[in-house]
Amino acid sequence: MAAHHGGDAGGRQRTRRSGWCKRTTHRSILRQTARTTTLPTDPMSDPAKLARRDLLTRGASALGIAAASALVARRFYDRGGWQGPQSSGRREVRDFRVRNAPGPSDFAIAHAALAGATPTQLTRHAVDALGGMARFISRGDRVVIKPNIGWDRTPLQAANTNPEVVAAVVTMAFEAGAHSVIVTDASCNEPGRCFQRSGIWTRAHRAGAQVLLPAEHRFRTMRLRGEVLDEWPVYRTLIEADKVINVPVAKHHNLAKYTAAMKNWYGVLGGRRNRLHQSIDRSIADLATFMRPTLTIVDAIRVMLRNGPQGGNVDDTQRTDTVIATVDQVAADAFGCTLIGQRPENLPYLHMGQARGLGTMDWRTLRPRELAFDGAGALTDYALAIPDDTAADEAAFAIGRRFLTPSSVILA
Amino acid sequence: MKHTTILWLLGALLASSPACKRTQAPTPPPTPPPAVTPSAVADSGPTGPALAPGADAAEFRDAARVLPRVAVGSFRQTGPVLRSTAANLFQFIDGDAVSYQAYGVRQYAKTDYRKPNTSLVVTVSAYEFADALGAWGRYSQNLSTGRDPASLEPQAVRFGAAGFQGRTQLVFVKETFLIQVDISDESEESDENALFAAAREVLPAFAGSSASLAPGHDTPPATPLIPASLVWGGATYVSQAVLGVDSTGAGWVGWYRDAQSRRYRAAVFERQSAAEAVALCAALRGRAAQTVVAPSADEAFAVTLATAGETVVLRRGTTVVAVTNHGADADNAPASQLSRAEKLALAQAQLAHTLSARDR
Repeated sequence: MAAHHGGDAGGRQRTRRSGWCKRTTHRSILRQTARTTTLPTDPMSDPAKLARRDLLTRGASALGIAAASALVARRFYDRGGWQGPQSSGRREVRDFRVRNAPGPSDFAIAHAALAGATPTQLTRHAVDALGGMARFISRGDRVVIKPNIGWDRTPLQAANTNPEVVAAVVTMAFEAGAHSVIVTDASCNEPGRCFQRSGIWTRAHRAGAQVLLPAEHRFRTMRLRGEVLDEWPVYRTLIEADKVINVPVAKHHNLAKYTAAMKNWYGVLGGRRNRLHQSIDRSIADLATFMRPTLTIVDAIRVMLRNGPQGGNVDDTQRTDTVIATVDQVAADAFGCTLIGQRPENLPYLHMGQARGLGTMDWRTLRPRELAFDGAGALTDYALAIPDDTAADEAAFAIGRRFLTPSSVILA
Repeated sequence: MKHTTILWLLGALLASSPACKRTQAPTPPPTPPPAVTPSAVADSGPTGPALAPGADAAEFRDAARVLPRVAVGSFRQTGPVLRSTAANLFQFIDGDAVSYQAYGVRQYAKTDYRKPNTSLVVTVSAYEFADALGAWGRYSQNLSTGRDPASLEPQAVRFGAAGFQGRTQLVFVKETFLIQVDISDESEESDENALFAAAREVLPAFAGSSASLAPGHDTPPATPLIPASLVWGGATYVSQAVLGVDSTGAGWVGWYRDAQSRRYRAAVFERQSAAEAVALCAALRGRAAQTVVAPSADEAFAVTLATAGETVVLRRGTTVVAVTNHGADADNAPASQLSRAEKLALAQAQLAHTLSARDR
């Protein structure tokens, strides 16, 4: 954009210089003519009058061209998302999933006793349990990582994705051969503050990622054709990639009860946010229909138990030292909600996502693996053995309860 | 001339073409700001990193009039004052806006305060509601969402009508204002214990400053609940889905502890017409209610609610009262639960209290 503006400005400057030269030439001709010529009889042969006519004609032409250009530019200029022209055509879907790349598991939970492992370790082990980042990222890929950087909150407040988790994902993407890694989000609060206070800007930058702040010109209206979201300004940076990794934080939401993977796509959108919340469950399902990520990594290092999504009170958060990695964003939320004491059957958007074929609420079918660090940092890696007669939500809730003290479990 | 015209036209078209614009590489991000670390502070000289200038006095209007101006202690106001109407609240707090709008929020404002030479930031947020009931309701939602309000009694503070202070946040309500004071540490090497210690000292100072600027009295709104046996923070006003039942509309919910330390809740709904009260009873009744005998009521039944267990409901005219368990059945040991007869007696007492208070 900046390069474009520069080129455009340069073009205009060249035109102006050219015009100034012509005017200078005419003036000098006029001055010369006035000094050397007397009483011409044929106006057509008068160089001064010829030059004046030529000047007027060319001036009028230039004005006409400028006006026409302005009209054409006004008609076609892409103003970006907020006031952009509507797109047309079929539903647009961004599917970044990797086909024909099976791994040992499609759903992994890495968790630790307090201080038993770092966020980086948990993230690495969760992804490795799926077969490693190389299963998802190919050499030369342009990778976009989408954390939650929506809030001007610090990591302790658990409103944004943990910066160490984000940095670990950046590093793993480069190790797998990514050509470039971009970290970005369309923040709810002022983006500069969100990126800085979340710690993500610094950590991701250090890990080698390009950190992009959202800007109006990076949005383009797209046709989602969902039940609620039809046409909407979409953050182009997040969809113009070879691979997209969704890295949400698990937290309470006053309206949706729990949000992480599927709701994280709100950060793809521009426009007026109030319209997004008028039917929040269907909006979430619409967005998850539009965005199919390569991989989902849920940060549950510290979860927000109540007063989400903005939170602010550290007493409303709890350390669970957990990271979930999966290829299924519905399964990610079906399990993740149990970490804040919620049950998946209480979340309508999960049912919608499953009904639309976006994933499964029964994460047991994804060959789940559990990686548990004890307080000394020793790792146990085992496939989750769940009796066939145990419902997925009950199993998840039972596992989730292991991370929480009974008094912090909520059954609302 | 024709050739020149065509060339100019082509050049102008190419320059303004959206295709050209869309193929441009994204602008590289600005250099990340240096994190405010102890070393950065040490390197920055005796005055530390420069603070952004404070906002003009004229910015402290509308809801922002209760934000402390200039400084509180060693913290100085810095940066802009953000202000919003209710309609625009989504742009600032996203989906949380719904929970404020449900209580009639009118305006919102917030700003930051920083202490020179440190990475500590205090943020004061003020929500102004249409009436004191709305402010109290949103405050009580904060208290009771996903927890027993009595669990916060050790955190009680005396600012405005009521408030509590956690490790990094102080919340209080004064008439139409709900005010939150947060403290955070922007340093990468932040020390949680140092932050909590700073919070204990700093948050009350800010709350005191805002409380003195907020108009009105330090009394909570009148409630139809029986005051005896209410636990701390137990008088809550809920805007919708009372006791977890959809379509109930607004109502008061009292959290109680009886003489045997058994816990229960009582809900009170006042409706404009008897028809509305009947519709509310229908929503609560569901499909499996049992009639109970209560001569003083127009309607009386017991129902098992998924989120509250066995509940006794009475209606008299436009008033509906429900008495239920402290939580869902699964969370209540049988020995700690009230019997149906006990709930009925409490419901009758609550109904009588509400009607007599209304008549007064």
